[in-house]
Amino acid sequence: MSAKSPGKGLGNLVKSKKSIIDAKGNFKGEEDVEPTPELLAMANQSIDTAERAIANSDTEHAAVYVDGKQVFVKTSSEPNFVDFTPKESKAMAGATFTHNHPPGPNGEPIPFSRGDVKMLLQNKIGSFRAVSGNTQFEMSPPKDSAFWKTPKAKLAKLLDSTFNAVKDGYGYTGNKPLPTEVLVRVLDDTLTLVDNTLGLGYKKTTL
Amino acid sequence: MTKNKNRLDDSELANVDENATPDKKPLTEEEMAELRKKLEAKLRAEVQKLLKESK
Repeated sequence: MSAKSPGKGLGNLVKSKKSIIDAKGNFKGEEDVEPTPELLAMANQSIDTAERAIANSDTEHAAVYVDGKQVFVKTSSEPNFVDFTPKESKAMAGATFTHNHPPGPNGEPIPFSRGDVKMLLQNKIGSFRAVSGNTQFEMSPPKDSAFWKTPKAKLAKLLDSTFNAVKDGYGYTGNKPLPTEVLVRVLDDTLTLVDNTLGLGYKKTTL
Repeated sequence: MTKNKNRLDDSELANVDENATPDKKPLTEEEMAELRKKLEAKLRAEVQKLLKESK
């Protein structure tokens, strides 16, 4: 992929699709889903404008930028995931990736999930952002960070063990769902601890 | 759990129950600070091991 045309070979700029995955986990193509007004509002916009368009959305959207230029925007029209083709995932290496988390029931900004941290490593994303309500979250691990040297399975184990130990400290055991307010605190503590030790470059900014 | 390796999976963010209550007494703020220190030390030891292994 040339630096001048980072979106080359990725199809349309605006994508409202879900992946079709077979029983063995193989990618078999995509199916169309209903586009959202927010997706259309993100298209051809700067990252700040795109993030403002999705900050309070109740469905999840994502956008990828290379050198400040939008490569594509995408939604699954679902609240908690966005699917990418293998080619789209490859285009994220070194890029800036942003997406939104629908805020909690009382407007709580929702930080990164463990799935986000895993995706950052898996796709070697340069800067990984999320916006939720009035808060923007970012992870930009420095190039020499221990994070990049961590095997995927090891990272998953460290995230899970830290998350569970913190959750236990707040008085919740087992796998039952947590109230949003507690989930936010557990995730934020987990991200801060992993940042302090592996070097996530984790920060939060009130918009 | 999805089998899609290319999915941005934030499903844990939807796994909430606003009426859930703690199973046991939560730690005090001081005890939580102590727990965070312990967890950070444990993670640091893991990172040192990782860096040694990657050399």
